Amino acid sequence: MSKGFLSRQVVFVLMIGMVVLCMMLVGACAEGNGTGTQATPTIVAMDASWHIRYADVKSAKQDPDLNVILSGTVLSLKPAQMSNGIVTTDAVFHVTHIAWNPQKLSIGSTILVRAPGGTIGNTRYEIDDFPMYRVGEQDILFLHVDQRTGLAGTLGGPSGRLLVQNGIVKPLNTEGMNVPPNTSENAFLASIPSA
Amino acid sequence: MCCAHFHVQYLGMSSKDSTGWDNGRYAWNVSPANFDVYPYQSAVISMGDYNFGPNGCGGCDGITYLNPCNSCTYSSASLYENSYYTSMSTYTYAIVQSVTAHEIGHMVGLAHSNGCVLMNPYTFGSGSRWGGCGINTPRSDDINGVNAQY
Repeated sequence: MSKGFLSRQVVFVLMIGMVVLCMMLVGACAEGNGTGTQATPTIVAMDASWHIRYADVKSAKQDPDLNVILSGTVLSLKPAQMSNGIVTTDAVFHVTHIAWNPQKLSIGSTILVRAPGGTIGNTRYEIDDFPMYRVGEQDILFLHVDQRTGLAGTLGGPSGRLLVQNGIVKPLNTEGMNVPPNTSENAFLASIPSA
Repeated sequence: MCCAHFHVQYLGMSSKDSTGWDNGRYAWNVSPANFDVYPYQSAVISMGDYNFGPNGCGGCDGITYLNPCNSCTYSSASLYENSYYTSMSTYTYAIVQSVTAHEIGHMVGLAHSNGCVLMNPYTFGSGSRWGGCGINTPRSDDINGVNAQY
């Protein structure tokens, strides 16, 4: 056998390997965050009654359970879990600004924020008026941070989560907090301490 | 005569929350809505309570799961009060009823609606169902929504 023929065999094997690797990567990407795309997921609708509506920052700060207001970006989502009778998903937030922390809780550069809903197997649990966090999403969150576990979660349902899009603060939906149109993130965050 | 009958089973829970479900059911049963809700031992709809904490469900004081099926509205349902809130003294029986009657509204297929209606999503705060409007029974908008379906 000639040396050239062996080289062609090696190249051919490498190419096959690369094709197989690409197919595996595409398959993995298609599965996303464990949500799966191979079958239409079963949707379990969840609907909530929310304890309190924050009309504005001032009313939010009167909630004794609220202990942190911060802005951040979703870095990733942990796998959903069913515990204590409810399906939840933890989002890993990169904290960009802490606007209010009267108890001086220890907040790192990332924080786990728990939200109801998520996908387990082929079943997607979702709350209509509190959509799942998405990777890359920017939010201003009104949180209760558990001092023992460090786990955080929003309060006030949709009114405790504001979206930041292109530097502008917007309510999550029609049930959300009142925010004047075209309020910049910087202006909103700067107004929080004195509200 | 009522059009749709829902059977529910109670899970273990505090007497206050159990009474809350009783009162929420009663509020609907005496209304002109075309359904009623009564306990039944092996029902596929369950009502209970659980302490989700202040932030375990995004600040909810009640939550409902509707498991789907192919040719019906849902195959089973689970309704919970968040006892972190409902056990508070500030949550009177009338307020707990506001939560449970709201969740029963979800159970029969109602979505959230703004204004002084039972399906207002918030219990307290500006413009809320109880704190703003003092509502713990279905209003005409809620009843019309139900009667459009049953």
